[in-house]
Amino acid sequence: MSDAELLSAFAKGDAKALDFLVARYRQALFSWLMGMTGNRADAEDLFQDIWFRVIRHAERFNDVSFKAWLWKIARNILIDFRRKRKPDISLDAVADKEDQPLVDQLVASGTGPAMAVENADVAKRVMQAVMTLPDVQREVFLMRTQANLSFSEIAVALGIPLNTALGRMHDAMAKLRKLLAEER
Amino acid sequence: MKTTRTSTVFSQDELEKDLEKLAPCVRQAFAQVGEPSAQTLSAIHNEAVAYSAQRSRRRHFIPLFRALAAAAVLALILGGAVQVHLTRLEGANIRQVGHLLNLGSSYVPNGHAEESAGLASRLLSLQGLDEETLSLTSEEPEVLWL
Repeated sequence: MSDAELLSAFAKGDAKALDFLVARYRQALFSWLMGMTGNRADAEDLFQDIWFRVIRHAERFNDVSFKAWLWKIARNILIDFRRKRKPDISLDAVADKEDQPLVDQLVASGTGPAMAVENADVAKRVMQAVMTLPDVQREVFLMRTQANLSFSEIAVALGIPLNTALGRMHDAMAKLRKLLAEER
Repeated sequence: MKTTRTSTVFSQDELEKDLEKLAPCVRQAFAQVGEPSAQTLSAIHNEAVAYSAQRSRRRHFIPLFRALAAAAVLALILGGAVQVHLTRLEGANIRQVGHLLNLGSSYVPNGHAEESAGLASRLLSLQGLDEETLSLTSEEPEVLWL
């Protein structure tokens, strides 16, 4: 079933349809939120808020792409969250004292037998580089790589022209290439 | 001074080509951050179930409410019609009773009662008399011979 069909089924009263949608997007949306907030607790809260809003507005969905609509909601909630908190949170820093920085979490979770130390190191470097990107570039970059949104969907989700989305991606890639080359 | 803004047109294909190398690495890195907790997923599931149930109740309630509203409107219309009918009947009865009680007036079916003064004057005129003289109008006054 397509995303739109599942959402329509949910709007008609099938609660299980939403579970399928959540399962379909939980990894992509959660990692995007982790990339944007920098800590798990905030990502969990935002993840929940996003789906609560999807639940409340399911009947109003009339966009072409569910994915673009979902990320539009996600971005609005993230903006609200940032307004309520601090005007500018450094995503490299730890937002909560109890939480580990995202990069450390990654290394900690990657030291198991499933992941070689070398891989963990590469992943750490990539993650660090991504986290240094400016917000506007990082959100586009992660939408494309993590959520697999097309550039048209990204433009819709962010309410920007397609060329602007491409430009931000271009800048993000250039910066990442530079950062990763410097570390070698 | 007038300035001209030039905008660069970016090639989507070139960006996609560049991404092919970098994206798997980023995906692998971010895959390690894991997924939302079971508690969060359970909260979303519960909210979805509660919201569906609420919507379902609303869907059942609205037709019932509409039927009740229609029945109430119908009852009001019928009640109004009965009330108008009863009021008319009551008015007719009052006129009939009024006629029976008021013996000095003449009852006319259209509801207008003739006043007794008018009736007296008509009776006098039928007899060829008038109110002024109380005498016969068609004859000369008789000379009274004592």
